[in-house]
Amino acid sequence: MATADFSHEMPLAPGASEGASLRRTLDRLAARHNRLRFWNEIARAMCWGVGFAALGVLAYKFYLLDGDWWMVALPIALSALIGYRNGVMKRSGAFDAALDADQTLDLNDRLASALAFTHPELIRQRRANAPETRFFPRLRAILLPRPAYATATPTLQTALVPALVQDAALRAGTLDPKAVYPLRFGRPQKFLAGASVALTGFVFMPSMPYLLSQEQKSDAKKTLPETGKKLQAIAKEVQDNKDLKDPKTKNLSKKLMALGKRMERARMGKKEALVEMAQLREKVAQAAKQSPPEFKAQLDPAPEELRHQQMKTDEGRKMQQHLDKGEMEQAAKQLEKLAEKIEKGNLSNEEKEKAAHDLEKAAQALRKQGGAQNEQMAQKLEQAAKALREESKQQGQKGQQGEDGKKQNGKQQDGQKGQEKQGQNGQQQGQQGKKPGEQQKAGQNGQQQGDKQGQQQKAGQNGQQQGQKQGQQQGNQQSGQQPGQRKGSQSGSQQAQQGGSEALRKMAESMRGGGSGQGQGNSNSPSLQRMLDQIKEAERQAGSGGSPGNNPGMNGQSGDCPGGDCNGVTPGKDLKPSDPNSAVGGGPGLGRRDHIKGFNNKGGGLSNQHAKRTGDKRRWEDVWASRLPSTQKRISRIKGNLGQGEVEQLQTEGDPKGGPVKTPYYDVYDTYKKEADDAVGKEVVPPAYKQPVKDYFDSIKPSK
Amino acid sequence: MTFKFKIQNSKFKIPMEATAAVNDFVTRVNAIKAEMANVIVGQDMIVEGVMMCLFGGGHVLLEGVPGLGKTLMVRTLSQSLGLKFSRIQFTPDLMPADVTGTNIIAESPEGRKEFQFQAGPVFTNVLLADEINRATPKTQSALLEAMQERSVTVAGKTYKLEEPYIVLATQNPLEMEGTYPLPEAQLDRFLFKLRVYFPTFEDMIQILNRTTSSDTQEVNNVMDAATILEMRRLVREVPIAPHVQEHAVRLVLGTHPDSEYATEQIKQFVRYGSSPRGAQALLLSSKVRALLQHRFHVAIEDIDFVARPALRHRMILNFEGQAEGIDSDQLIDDLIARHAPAVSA
Repeated sequence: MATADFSHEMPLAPGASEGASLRRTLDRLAARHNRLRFWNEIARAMCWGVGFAALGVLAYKFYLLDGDWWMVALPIALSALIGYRNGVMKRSGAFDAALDADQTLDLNDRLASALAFTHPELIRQRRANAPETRFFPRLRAILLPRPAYATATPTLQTALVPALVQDAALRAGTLDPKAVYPLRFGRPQKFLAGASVALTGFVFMPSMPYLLSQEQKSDAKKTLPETGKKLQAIAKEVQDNKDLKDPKTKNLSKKLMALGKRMERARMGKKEALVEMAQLREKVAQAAKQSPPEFKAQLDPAPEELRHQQMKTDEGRKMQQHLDKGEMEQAAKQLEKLAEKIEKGNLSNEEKEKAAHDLEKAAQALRKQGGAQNEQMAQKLEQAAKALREESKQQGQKGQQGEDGKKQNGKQQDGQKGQEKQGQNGQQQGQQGKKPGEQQKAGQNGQQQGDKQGQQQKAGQNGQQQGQKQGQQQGNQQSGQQPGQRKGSQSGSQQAQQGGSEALRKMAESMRGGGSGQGQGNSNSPSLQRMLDQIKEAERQAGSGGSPGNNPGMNGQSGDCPGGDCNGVTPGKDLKPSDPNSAVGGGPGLGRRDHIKGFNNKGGGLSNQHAKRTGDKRRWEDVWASRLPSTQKRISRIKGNLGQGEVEQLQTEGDPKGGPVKTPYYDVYDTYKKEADDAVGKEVVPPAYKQPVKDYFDSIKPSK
Repeated sequence: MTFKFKIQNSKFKIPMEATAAVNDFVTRVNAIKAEMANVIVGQDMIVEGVMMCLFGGGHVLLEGVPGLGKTLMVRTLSQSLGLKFSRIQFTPDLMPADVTGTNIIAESPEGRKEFQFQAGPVFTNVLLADEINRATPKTQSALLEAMQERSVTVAGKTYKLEEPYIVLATQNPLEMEGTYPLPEAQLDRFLFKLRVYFPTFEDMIQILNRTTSSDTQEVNNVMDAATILEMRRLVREVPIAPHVQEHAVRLVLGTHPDSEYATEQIKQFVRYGSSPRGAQALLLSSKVRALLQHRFHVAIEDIDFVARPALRHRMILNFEGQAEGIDSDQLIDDLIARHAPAVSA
């Protein structure tokens, strides 16, 4: 019998060659499996990444989401990493491959069983790791789990094992790995392909601002991109400056670049853009203030230059004295005084000469500082100096001509008595008055004489014409325009002086340490200042929609953030004109003006009590500056010297020693409001100034 | 079994000894089947199950309604094997001594009276315990030692039973009055519990033709006890890989309601699961089945194949399970499905 011939006593050891052959085949199989699984895991993970990216791009195209290109790449890369991790972690061995081959090819565990006897160490079973107690090992175990395996208990070798191994090796020799692990285009691959196609389509899809309002569409199409490009340009200019080594400035320029890019993408609202610009502007201004002293000196030599110039005016000399002492604030005040004098124009000839001299010195100081804007400011100063000198000369001539007129006509007219016409050979004398734009006309042979400014002679005419604004008048007449059509404009001389005084003020502000920093010439850091200027310009542009008057909600001047604080408000949008003539702009925190009820709510935080109640600690100027007339661009605090002029005294009753307030605020409100109403009710107070006072009392009106 | 690829030229050759042994094993089993098929119509799976028990060294509990040929099958098997055959008709008044035998007083040739052991019907090779559930548990328990230890102890003296020894018991699942359900310990000693199903239409025609005519089929003796023992040794030489063995263990542990491998249904309807004898039954019978499939090793498929008959009588349903009429086979199928190996992605 065959069964009797079978030797049971001596179990046959499996042949080494068969076992090795089986192992090689199964290793090949496992390698293919691992490759396929690796890509499968990556595809499976990237489905999510590409899907999220596609949704993100779609949301971007519909203006629902903003982001840079890397925000699309990030989820894809992250998912690819996760897929890579999973693919690496889930590697199969020869035993897994044998099991799969047995299952796939209906081999009834031949290969796996044979391998279990030839290579029992390959049979691995995952077992739980002991939980980590420390933080980082636990984190590593979560992120990069390292499974532990237990080797199965070896099974007893029996007489039929060699036959089993040989049978398995025989079948494994002809085994086709592709039959076991065919290349499949499974669900993950299909989904990944679909998501990739969708992502590509969304990327090349044009932007669809269907969900935006008309105003938002307009902003997204023109205003924000243009402003963003400008910001990027200045940021790039600063970044390209190789001499610039200040890390803070570089950082700010990067932020500016980022903001510019965001605005160019136009996925942010105008309000948000303005708020961010305002915040950035604040940071730039602060950085300019906080620049190290040596850096300041290096970048801003203007005060040093001014200190060494020969100044002739009292203010100029005092300024130099303060500069010597290092009192920048006092020096700045002296410059402002000089500017104020020039603005008012009540200077004697000698003072004008001195002021012109000082302006020229200041121009030299600015010019030495270098830079286009400095050059521009220097030119303004020089023009102002020139204008002052011309005025001085003309006043000298005016005195001479006045004497000539007396001799010729025997008459002398007082400039304050208005006009007087005479015959064809007579004289025409008049008073120009203080209002700009009023003019006197003279006949062909008449003379016109003003009390203040300028004198003009026309060729071929015998008359003289004197006006308050000689330069303008001359220009008007030369261009053939009627003087009446240019009512409200200033003469060229005045404009030059105005420009000079503005330049002086900016220099003063620069001396104070940057402040609002109106020009490059006054900046501690030219780069920072340039950034600051560009941000302001961009704010204006964005706030006014790029073209003042296009947006009905903008009053043209709303680009300025009152008090430098635009947080939470949109200049030009939230700040609506509160009076029908648009003379007074809205203020931050104030509701729309209701002419019957006054401002709705939202006080400006003007009083201490109001500040306590609302948390709004802005100063009065901060709140009301934007509501002043457009011609008054800046808040000036004019301090009088004690002992000069009249002093009004108001006696109040109260506890001189201080202490807790005994009279409630709401009890005195009406009294003070009435007094304020009476005071501003006078005709001498311009209407534009009345409204802020009224609004102020409305804002602090106690609730009943 | 069809393979998806053809065996090409290979330098390896399967040992002729092993191949011949397995082929011989299959041939001999087929010979027994053929002899039984001369008498028994249909019931191929039952016959194969009985073969597995015979060569696995276990006992069989045949469950079926009367008249399905259970007794005939057992008698035919014993005839084809050429083994000694005994039949015990279990009745309620049957006593253990009637099964095991007893000491009687007998007179020796010298005239002395002495106790002499009178062997019971249990001393045989093939024992048919017909309608085993009609006897009291006390009598049923008389078979416990014989089935497990292959020995009988009477009056303090142990008598070894002759190998091969196999008990084939039958019981009627419908007629419950006057019956005594087999105790768990008794049930556990059966390798398989085979359910004899009603014959098909064609089988019925053939049964009628055979049993109602004058043509009687002779059963030839195709095997002897020594061959059976040799084949049993071959069965035990069949290797089983660790992962296959673990599959069997998972199935056995899964029959317990408090096991992590159990299905929800088992947790709900089973009171107690299989003993380790169940795992032994799984492996031994699956080894026979592997050989019958011309294989040198046990596959998971073999384990699953024999899981029903090997485990169904080892799962004790709780009250809810009995009230719901839960079938143990269904629970086992769910268990197999849960632990089925899958191709990794």
